[in-house]
This record gives sequence, structure tokens and C-alpha cells, in this order.
Amino acid sequence: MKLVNCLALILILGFNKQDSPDNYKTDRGKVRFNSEAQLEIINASSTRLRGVLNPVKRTFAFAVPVSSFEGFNAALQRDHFNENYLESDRFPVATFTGKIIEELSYPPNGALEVRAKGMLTIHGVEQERIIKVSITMIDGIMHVFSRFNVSLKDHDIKVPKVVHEKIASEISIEVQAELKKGI
Amino acid sequence: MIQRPYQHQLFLKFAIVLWVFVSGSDVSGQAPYVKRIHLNTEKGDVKFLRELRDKKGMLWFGSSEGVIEFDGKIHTLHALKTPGFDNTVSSLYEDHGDTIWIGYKSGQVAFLTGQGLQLFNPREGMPKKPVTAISKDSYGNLWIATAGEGIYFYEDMILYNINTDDGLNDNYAYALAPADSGSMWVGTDEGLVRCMPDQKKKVIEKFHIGEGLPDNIVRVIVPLKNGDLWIGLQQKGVCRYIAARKQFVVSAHMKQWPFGQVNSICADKKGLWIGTEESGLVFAGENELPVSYMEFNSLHFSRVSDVIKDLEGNLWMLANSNIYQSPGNRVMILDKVPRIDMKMVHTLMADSKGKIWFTPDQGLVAYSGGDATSQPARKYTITPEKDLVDIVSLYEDDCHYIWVGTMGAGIYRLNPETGAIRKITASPLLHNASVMAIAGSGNTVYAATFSGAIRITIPEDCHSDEINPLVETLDKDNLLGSFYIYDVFIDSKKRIWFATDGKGIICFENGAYTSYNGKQGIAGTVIYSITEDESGNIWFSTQEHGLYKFDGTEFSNINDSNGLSSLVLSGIIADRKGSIVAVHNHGFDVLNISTGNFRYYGAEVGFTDINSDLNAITRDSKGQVWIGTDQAIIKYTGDDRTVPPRPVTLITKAAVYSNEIISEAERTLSHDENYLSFDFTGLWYTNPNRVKFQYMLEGYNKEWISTLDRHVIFPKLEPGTYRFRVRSSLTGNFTEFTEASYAFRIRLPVWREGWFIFMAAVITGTVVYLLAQMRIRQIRKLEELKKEKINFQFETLKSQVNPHFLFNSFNTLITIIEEDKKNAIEFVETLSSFFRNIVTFKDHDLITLQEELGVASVYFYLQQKRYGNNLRLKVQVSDEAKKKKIPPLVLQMLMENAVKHNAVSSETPLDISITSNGSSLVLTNNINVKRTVEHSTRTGLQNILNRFRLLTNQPVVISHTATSFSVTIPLI
Repeated sequence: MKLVNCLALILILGFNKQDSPDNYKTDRGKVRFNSEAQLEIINASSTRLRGVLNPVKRTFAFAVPVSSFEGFNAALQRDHFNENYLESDRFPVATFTGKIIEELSYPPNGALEVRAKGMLTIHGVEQERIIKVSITMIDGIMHVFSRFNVSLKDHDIKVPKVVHEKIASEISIEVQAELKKGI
Repeated sequence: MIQRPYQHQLFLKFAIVLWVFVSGSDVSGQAPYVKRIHLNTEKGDVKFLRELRDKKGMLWFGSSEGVIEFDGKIHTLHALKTPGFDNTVSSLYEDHGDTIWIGYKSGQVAFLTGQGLQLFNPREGMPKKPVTAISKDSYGNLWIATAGEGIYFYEDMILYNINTDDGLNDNYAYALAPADSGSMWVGTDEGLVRCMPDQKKKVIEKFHIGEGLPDNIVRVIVPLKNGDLWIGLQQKGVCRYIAARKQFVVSAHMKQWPFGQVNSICADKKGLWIGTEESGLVFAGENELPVSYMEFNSLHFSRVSDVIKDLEGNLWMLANSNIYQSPGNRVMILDKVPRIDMKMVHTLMADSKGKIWFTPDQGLVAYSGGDATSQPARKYTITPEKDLVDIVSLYEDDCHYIWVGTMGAGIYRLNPETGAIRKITASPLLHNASVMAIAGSGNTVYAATFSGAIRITIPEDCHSDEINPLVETLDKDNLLGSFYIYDVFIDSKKRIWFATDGKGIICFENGAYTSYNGKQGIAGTVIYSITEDESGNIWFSTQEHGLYKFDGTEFSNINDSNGLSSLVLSGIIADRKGSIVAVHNHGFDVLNISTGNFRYYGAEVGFTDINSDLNAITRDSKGQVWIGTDQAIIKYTGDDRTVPPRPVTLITKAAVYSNEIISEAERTLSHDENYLSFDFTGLWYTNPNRVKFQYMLEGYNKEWISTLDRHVIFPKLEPGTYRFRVRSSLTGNFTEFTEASYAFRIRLPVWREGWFIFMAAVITGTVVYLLAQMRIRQIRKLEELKKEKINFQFETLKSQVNPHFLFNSFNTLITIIEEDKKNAIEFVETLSSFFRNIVTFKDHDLITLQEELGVASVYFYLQQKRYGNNLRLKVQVSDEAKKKKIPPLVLQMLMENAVKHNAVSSETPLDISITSNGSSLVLTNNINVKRTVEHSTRTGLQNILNRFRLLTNQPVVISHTATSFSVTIPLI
């Protein structure tokens, strides 16, 4: 498991090391997740999403530290989230890396709806996903927005039966980031 | 309709022969008949790009406007109406659940089920590049191949992608075919790949040129049952992948592939039909060189984008974006023979060396079959001195010389090797003869002419150009006479048959003539053609009465009522494969001798008027039938015995009003869903206009109803169990048919259900019973009331004629008379008034309290005269109460009771008070026990109680204490 996380970090660092002038980067992207269950609604978010996207090669890598999510309904809930469900001590980072299917013009311009094909790793379990992303260039800044669902089963996230009515089996995720070109 | 070209008979002295060796690179131009099928939509010019035959036999065409379902007669367009949606279809697929999947050029995918056309809409979104193929693996996962985004598979509601990043050879994929254990073969621009629906290991096997694949661009994959694949390539044609050895094999005949890119492959029993990009339609028969067809009857195309076969064996091609239907190899046209002008072909003959001899216009050609490589066609011309002649009959004798019978110029004998030709001049009979047919056996040759039958005996050794035959006319008895003879035929028993004009059919056997005509049941006397089938039956055609079959003892007739298309037949022949081919002006019928069923080849194939000459038909040693027409030769090689001529019957829509309810299981409908409509079809693409239907709704009709419509409505059906059955057939009497049915049930409305009726009956019965009881009670009550009234009247009367009262009254009167005369008169008047009251009121049921008080006060006055102040009455009654009613004389009786039962004296006065209390009246008196009790029957009080009981629910309350007695009576 640690290996995977290392690889994820390496990927991101790798991108940075490559330091291609074409890369667009951020380290302050926002991730929000929303669980709507019968008895409870949980919203939490993190502003520590790091990401890089190369529009020439159409590759991307995003990572967010699991423990950076805040906004739970109670401190105990957050503790459970980190210790029991996502086991963030063992799997500190959730990542999504891969390649965009559509051709992108370079330099990218306007507003596009593309599909990002890659490996989504949460709780140490990889799942290949194709996720719709909208990319809008405004004044040289790449605004990235995506909304998608994550199924707990896909990533082996186990929720005890007693809490079933409080946590949804599919969590909806929203990602929002502004990537800037540069080193 | 039978042409009989006439020419004046000519005398010919000698003939000049010209023969021309024709060879070279001209292809001999035999091609399948092809007919364009127009499926028009509102948009007009529609391009057809892909096609599919589903499991039931229905054909589907993917076009620029959506997918069109076509049953041979009716076509239905299925398209998504969303504005902006591009309905251009780029691929079609039918899965095991009978759902049709449609891939679009825009990258979208839709699927068609009984519920209609729906878009496949995974949350990951759909490709942006055209969908080139769709398939499902052995686990049921959906696979999509695209031109530029690799391939996708859909498992557990997640769409995955496999492209070059995952190890796929190339992102341009053309074809998909399922392999074992969920894996899928993919044909790409860079080879053949096998993939798995496993996100960890997506690509498991790859084949390029290096691994034995002849060409990297794999455009078509057709899976076979044993796991092998037919593979269509860009440049090297077709190869076969042998699964057991993982090797690619190209058959010897296809090693050279000059036909270019392969677009589509359709395998049948005899070989492969291949649609190519540049060389039209290619047929690669087993162990034969492939043949390419680009020229069809007046059509030319080089690009065939798709080719499939329907269940009957017809080919369907998409070429130049149009749809073409063809009988394939079964019916071919030969209209282009190099250097030969194909005009009216008068006659044909297959010789013993495999050549077909035919006579276009005034020529004579020996044609050597025809396949991919061109073969020489040898042309011979018989040119008499002045005019050309029409050749109308041919015969090959035992020395392989060809006998040429002409119209008006007798018979010539041709040496096919050298081309030397000699006219038979041995007899003046033959100088100007018009020879319709020649047949021979050994050294005897018979000629059927317009001047009778002629027998020509040739020497044993006939291998010379010059022979001196013996020519004699037959029939010295003049049985045949000088009638026209149209055909002469020698059967397997060496009998000689003559088809005559006017004398029926005549058989010459062992020197004797037997004439068969009306006496044997043969209609008409003009016979045109004779042939024999492999069972020894003799068949012949007549001028207007169709066919006859002679089995040695009986003649049986086959005409239009048996299914024959036309009674005017230009020629017939047995194909020695169990059928008789009968040619008429619109095509030909093929009669299956054992079943009696016909197969029809006519306008649907593309024939218009074919104008076939009399007996311009022959059969070669391979069983192929050649038919001469006015523009071409038709070659028929079908063996249709394996496909029985039965259309496939399908119910395409079962609906209540306009909702679709297609379902395999029985459907139960409510009582108001009783307007049923059914759409049905019979698939027979060869002759869709001949399909007839019969239907019966079991539970409604008692018999089968025939129709040509493909739609039937049943309005206002009664509740019940039904089964809709429909059959389709090609024959009028439905001897061969298939059937489809749909069972359903209409429930009774609630009010007709047994339990409801029962409940209703029980409830009604109960209600009626209760009502009756109420009525009875009411009647009884009235009766009782009447009885009580009478009783009361009686009692009152009895009590009022009480002598004691009178006695006491009189006593009182005496006392008053002595005291006061005036008082006495008043007393008597009051007494009389009292009795008058009784008379007045006793018949009433009820009187007002006011009136009753009046009576009571009169009575009190009378009693007071006797008792003086020892009897006191106090009345406190509200005005309202006075308006209410009570039965008459009740108060008076109660007062009388009080006086009767109590002592009244100065020591014991009697106080009676009458007070009203809302809705009741209370009469109270104090109790003074009497020493002597007057006789009382107690009936008075009881009577009062009874009377009240009959009139009101409110009770009469009697309160009897030690000191007082009170009665509370309700006011009514």
C-alpha cells in the first residue's frame, strides 16, 4: 500500500520534475464530497488538492491528502472517517492519474467537455474510471471542474451495518481547481 | 407471346462458314441478377451503410437517417427524434436477448427493444469518434469499437476504455468478435488483438504480420463455431485463423488477391461472398478461383460496403449506398460475351464436351461456360447466298457433329473442330424445312418440322463432313400428317414423343403410334415442349392449359390453380435435381416434383419481359439450366429443395388502443382494455407480394379468415380467453405455412365477477328482507293501535256509563236542587256538557291539551259539587304545552282514578295537581287510603299505558309512593 502512495507522490513530483513548460499546475484545488443517506447528510471538503495537466501530452495527475478533509458534522465523525473508513494512516493520499481521451488544441482555448481516463486510487484500491471534466481557459488560467460518483464498494471502503443509514453507498464528489502554467 | 420469327424459306445451294476465334482478356460477363430495393423515407435520398439479419430472419438497414426495419414489403424507420441528434448509422449488432444495438457515426450508441429506441447513456459519456462495431462477450458485457478512440467495454455499470496506452495496437478499430471466457477479438489498423474485460490485464494476445497475419489492417472478423475466424484484410484478401494452432491460413486459390480492400464477408455452404472496395462483389467458391462481379444487369458498381444473406439464400448488398437484392449464384445473367452481340437467342444446347451452343439472332456460338479467367467463345456463321437465317434447333450426334436446324432453310451439319458445315440435301423434304426440334439416338435422327416429322438415318461411321443420310417422312399412315410439330423428344425408354399442333401428343414406340389427347383428359390439342424427369415421368406443356405429367398410366394437369404463374409457357425442362423449370414471359417457375410447391423467379429478381423463344432452354451435365431471352441468357443453378417455400410468420406488434404490449407470456387485460390490434408479417424476401395471410382469433372467430393486409383490429371484445393466431403462406390453399400466435385474457368487469354478483344478491336479499320486516312491524303497530283505540273506547264507554258516577251525580243534584234552583240548572247543564264532550272526543286519536283540560275542568266542577273543598285541583300548564296533544279523556280518567282510589273528606282532602313539564304532563295526587275500595279492574290505567305505547316512544311514568301518586304522560 505504501508503495502505491509513494508511486502516486512520485507521479506528481515526477511531473513537476519534468517541469515541462507546458504543464498547468495547482496546489490549492478544492475537493468536496457529499454523502446523502437516509438519516444523515455529510459534507466535507479539502482545499489541498494538488494537480498537474499537460495539454500537449494530454496527461494529468491529481492527489489530495485524505486527512485534509474538513467540515464533518462532528469531530467523532471525522475521526471515524480517517481511522476506520479510509484508514488515512495507511493510505494518506487519494489520487487520479491518466490521460484525456479527446484531442486538445494547444494552446488550449475556450470551454471544453472532455473525458479523463485514468486510475482513481482511494483507500489503496485502484479503479479505472472515465470521468467527464469541463476545462475552461480564462485569461490563461485553466479552470477545471468535474462532478462524479465514487462507489464505496469499488475501493473496499467498509462501513459497519449500524451506520448504513447514515452513510451513502455512493458518494458524490466535486472537484474544482485553477491550474496555472509555469514552473 | 411466343415469338415465332418467320422468314421466307430460302433455297440454299451452299453455305459459307465463318468462324472467328475470340479470346483475350475480355471477361465473359456472367453475373448474378441484381435488383435495387428502394426504401424511401421523408427525407428522400437516403444512404445505406450497414445491414443486419436478425435471428428471426428480419432485415435491418443502417442508413443516414437511422435504422430501417424491412420485411420485404413494409419498411419502418427507427430514429431518435432529439433535435440535433445525428442518426447516421455506422454499425449494427443483435445480442442474445434479441435487442438490436446501433452505433452512430457521432460516437453514440442506441438500442432497440419492444419498448422502442433508447439511447445508451453511461455516466462516463460516449465516444466522440464513429462507432465501427458493437458486440457482447460471453459474459454479456457490451463492447464498442471506435475509429480513433480504441475500444470500450461496459461491465458492472462502469465503462472502461482500451487504447494504445493500455497496450492496444492502434486506436483505429474496425471489427469485434467474441472469443471464449469473456475475451474479444479486435481488428485494428495494426493487427489482430484479443482483449479481456479486466482493468488489470486488458490485452492478452496480439498478432501482426510477424506472427503470420498476412496484412496488418484487419477490417472484418467473422467468427466460426469452432473458434476459427474468417479475417478480411486491406490488401491480402481473406485468410482464416485456425484457433487450434493459432495460425493464419490462406487458401491456395486466394493466394493471389487482386481485388483490393475487403469490406464485408458472408459465408455460405458453397463459399464466401466478399464485398470489396474496388472490385465489387467477389465470390470465392471452395476450390475455385475467386470471381469478381462488377457489371450486373445494366448496373455497375465497384464498391460493395456490406453483404449478407437472408434465410432464403438471397444476397443483399450495399453498393454505392444503395440496397441491392440478388438470388446470388442461383440465377445468373450472361449478357456479355466478347465480340458477340447478344440479341434474340432462339435456341440453346449443351454438348457433351461442356460447351453451351446458342444462337444469338442469326449467329451460332459455342460458349465454354465461363469463370474468372476468360475462355474463348467460338462464333460460327452460316451464310447462305442471299439471306441470313434464324437457327432454331440444335443437336449433337454420336460423332459430335452439330446439327443446325433453321427456319426455312433445312438442316446443316457442322464439324465443330474445323468449322466445316454441310447442308443436308439428301431429300427435297429438307430444302426449305423449318425445323423446330431435332432429337436422335444412335444413327437415327428425328426432325420436327412445320411439315411433319422426318426421320434421318445416318451411317454408322459418321465421322466425315459428307454423309449420305436416308431421309424419310414418318407416318405413312398420316397419323401425324402434315401438321406442325413443335418438339420431338426421345425418352429413357427410347420412345419418341412428338408435340403437335392439333393432334395432341403422340408417342412412337416399336413402330406404333399412340396419340394422347382429349380422350385421356388432355385439354387442348396444341403441345409445345416435352421433357423427362429423373423418375421417368414425361412432362409436356400445352398452349393454354399449363403442364401435364405422364407417369406411364395417367395424365395429371398442373395449372394456375396449382400455383403455376402462367399458362403460356415458352419452354420446360427437368433439371434432374427434382424440379421442372417452366419458362413464361415474366420469368420462370421451378416446380418441386415431389412436394408440388413452386418457387418463383420473376419481377422480384429483376426480370421484365424476357421474351423467351419456343424451347430456348437446355440443361448441361452439371444440372445447370440455360434459358435464352431476347437480350441475354439466364443460367439457373438453384437447388431449392433444401429451403421449403414457407414465409416466416411474425407478430410484430400487439397493442391495446395504441400502447405496445409485446410479450411472450400470456397477458391479462382489464375489461375496458378491449380494443386490440395486431400487426404481423410473413418474411419471404424472394416474392414478398405473393405472401398471403390467414388469421383466427380463438374465442371469437370460428374459422380462418384470409387477408392480404398485415394488420387486424378487434374492437369491443367481450371478457374471455383468447388466442390470436396468424399464418402466412405462398400458396393459396396454405399447404405450406408457418404460424405465430399471441394469447391473452380479458377479465370480467368487477360487476360481473361471480363473487360480486353473489355478494350483491345476498345484500339485496337482506335489504329486501329487512324492508319487509319493517313494513310488517309497521302494519302490526297500526293494527295494535287500532285495537287499543277500540279497547279504550270500549272501556271509556263502559266506565262512562258507570252507574256509580250517575248515581253520585244525581245525589249531588238532589242536594243542589233543594238548595238552589239556579245552581241545579247549572249543574245539569254542566253534566250534559260533560257527556257531550265524551261523545265528541271519544273517536279522536289525539286532542289538544287545551281541549282535554277543558274536559278535565268540567269533570272537576261536577266532582267538586259533591265533595266541596275537600277536592282541590291545581293546574299549571304552559301555553306551549297546551298546544300539544294527548289521547282524549286521559286526564279525566286519571282524575277519576284518583277520586276512586282515595278518600276525600275534610280530614283527608284530595289535592290533584296537573303541571306541564316541557314535553310531558304530570298529574299528581296525594294518597288517602280508602277503607272501602271500590271495584276496580285496573284496566283504565293499563289502557292508558297501552295507548301511549302505540303512539310514542316516550314512556308513561307512574310513581307510587306512600304519600303520593303521580303519572307522567308524554305530550305529543
